[in-house]
Amino acid sequence: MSHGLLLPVFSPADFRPKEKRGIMEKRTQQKGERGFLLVLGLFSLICLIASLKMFLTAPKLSGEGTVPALCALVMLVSTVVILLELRGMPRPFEDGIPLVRKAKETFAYLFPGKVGIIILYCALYAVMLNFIGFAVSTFLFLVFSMMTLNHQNKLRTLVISAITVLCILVVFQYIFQVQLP
Amino acid sequence: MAFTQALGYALQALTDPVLLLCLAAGVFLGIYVGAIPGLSVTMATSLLISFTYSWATLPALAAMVGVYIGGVYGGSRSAILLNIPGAPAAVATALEGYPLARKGLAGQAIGVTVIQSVLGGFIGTLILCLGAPYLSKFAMRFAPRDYFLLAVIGLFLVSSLGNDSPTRGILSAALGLFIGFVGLDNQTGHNRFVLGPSGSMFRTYMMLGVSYVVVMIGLFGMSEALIQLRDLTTNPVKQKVDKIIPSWKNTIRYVPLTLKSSLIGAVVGALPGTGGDIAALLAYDQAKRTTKNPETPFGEGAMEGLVAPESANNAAVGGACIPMLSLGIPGDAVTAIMLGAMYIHGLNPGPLLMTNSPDVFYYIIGAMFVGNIFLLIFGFTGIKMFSKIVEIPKTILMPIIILLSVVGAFSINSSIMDVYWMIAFGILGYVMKLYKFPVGPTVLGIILSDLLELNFRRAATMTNNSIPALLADLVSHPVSLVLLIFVICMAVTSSGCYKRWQAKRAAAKK
Repeated sequence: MSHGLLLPVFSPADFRPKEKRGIMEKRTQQKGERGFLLVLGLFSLICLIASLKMFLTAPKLSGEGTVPALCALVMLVSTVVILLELRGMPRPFEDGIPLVRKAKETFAYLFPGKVGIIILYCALYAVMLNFIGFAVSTFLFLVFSMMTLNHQNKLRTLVISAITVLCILVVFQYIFQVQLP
Repeated sequence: MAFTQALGYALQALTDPVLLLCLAAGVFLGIYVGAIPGLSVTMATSLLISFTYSWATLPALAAMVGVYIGGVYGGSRSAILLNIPGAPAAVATALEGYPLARKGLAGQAIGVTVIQSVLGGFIGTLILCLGAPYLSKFAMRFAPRDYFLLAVIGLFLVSSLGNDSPTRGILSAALGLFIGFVGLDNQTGHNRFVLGPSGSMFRTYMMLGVSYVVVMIGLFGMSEALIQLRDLTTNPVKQKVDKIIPSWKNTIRYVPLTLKSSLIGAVVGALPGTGGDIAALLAYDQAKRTTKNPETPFGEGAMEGLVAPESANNAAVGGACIPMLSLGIPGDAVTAIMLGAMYIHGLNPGPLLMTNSPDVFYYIIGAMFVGNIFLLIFGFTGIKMFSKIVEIPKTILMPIIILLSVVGAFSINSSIMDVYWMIAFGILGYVMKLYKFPVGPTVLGIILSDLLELNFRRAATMTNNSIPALLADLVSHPVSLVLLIFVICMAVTSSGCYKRWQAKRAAAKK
């Protein structure tokens, strides 16, 4: 049996958009997917440059920059391959939409209403832990999060939040002796 | 090692009351975590690491083994009652379990899944008990180059299996490896990729490297909670459950299928990168093909369709522990976390584990046997309580999960920086999941970064940093050559070009 039958043939044509090669793609591009990949690509490039700099200080196979450089190269190549794969998928935006609108729609897709607010609460909660202590900040975080997610029955939310804080304190601090913020 | 000594270590799982309690609590917790849609065993185990950080090794492992066993089973309950698989391993169970529940046979279906999960669990543990020591002995012959290749294989398998695009998995794994390289280089002591002004808290934190437990909690716990928040509309369905314990006659009738499916589960689970989900689907498919004249057709509530996936996914637990304990390569995401936990507790999972810490090795085996007995007990009880817990709305559950993630991240080093990093990785994981990037390879990349780099550098040093000499070394040793061929085959077969070529070849044959 010849090698031609066993091994795949790599040709530039394989990197053409899939629709041009007659391959149907089920998935569509998601809003912001290309942007995320570009950010990953940029990050990989920075990592590669930093690793190569490190490699050049001790240019040998067992040097401290060798494996990170190879790893960053894999990241960069993978990002490029995924970007090429995306070319064949239907785009999420119609042509001619301004960049600002695209950015707004992408943000709305990534962080729809309540998700964005909860992330904001998480960030605030992490900061407040330093200032008002674990019990108060946790209670406030739970109350605001639960009320944001479900407006009904405020009294139930307050009770559940208080019980949760109490349980966490008892179970983790006193039974498991885990240090709390 | 003498059989009696090994038995003594294994029996600790039964004789030590503290270990017994931790194991029982773990199984109990696992069942409920696994049953609640949106909460995964991986998430629970990653949170558990931070809480058991300061515990002794065996109780911590007992809790984790318990959660693992209980969680894999637990997914089937919501699959039967709500048609929502609580865990990926219960997808096949939902196909037959839910039609049974609609006929009013939910209790019967739950009973069968409990029995089959326990039987599958026992068979998987038996295979672990018999297979792991031989694999460990064989792996004792491995040189640094072989460990390097093993780490690459582990990353490749986790990256390429179980997701649509292997390239995305490889990118995730490489990202994880790179995160693992941040901090002081363990050979030269130089700072690598450390940012921030000199003397700042941020720089000091980065010098120590990002804790993989923090990354794990962020990527699995926090991100999953955020993903669940995108859809708050799912309403819980109330079910009536009775007649749970199945008859002996029915159990005996399915024994051949149980054995066959458990074997499939253990073998598939032992392959790094696969897990209970793939094992269950394969066993279900195999049962569907080979069962002649089922009482009820498949898809309408065939009992064979419950027996096969449930015995396979619990057998996969034992299977997944084989590469973890004998090679130091995890079989799935949960064993990847357990591997991390073992490192935290100063253990060295791999071929030397049986020599250096036989007590831990045999205890895990004992705990898996006893854990399955607890599964039998808890599986048949508390069904009514379960139906109440499953009804907890996401609006209450998800903020609590985020809170547990924060507490878990802080408890590792009592550092608020860990909380910030956890939130950052939670958001990263959320975005990655939205764009179909698997997060498991990232975590595995961080865990394996040390093993991979250290052994590569050792192998390079042993060949005087010469690339031709290193390549010659790889092809001149049989073990290395086999592993190298395996790596090359995986790289080629996971490439898009190969898949297209295969499709073209298949089309040409037709």
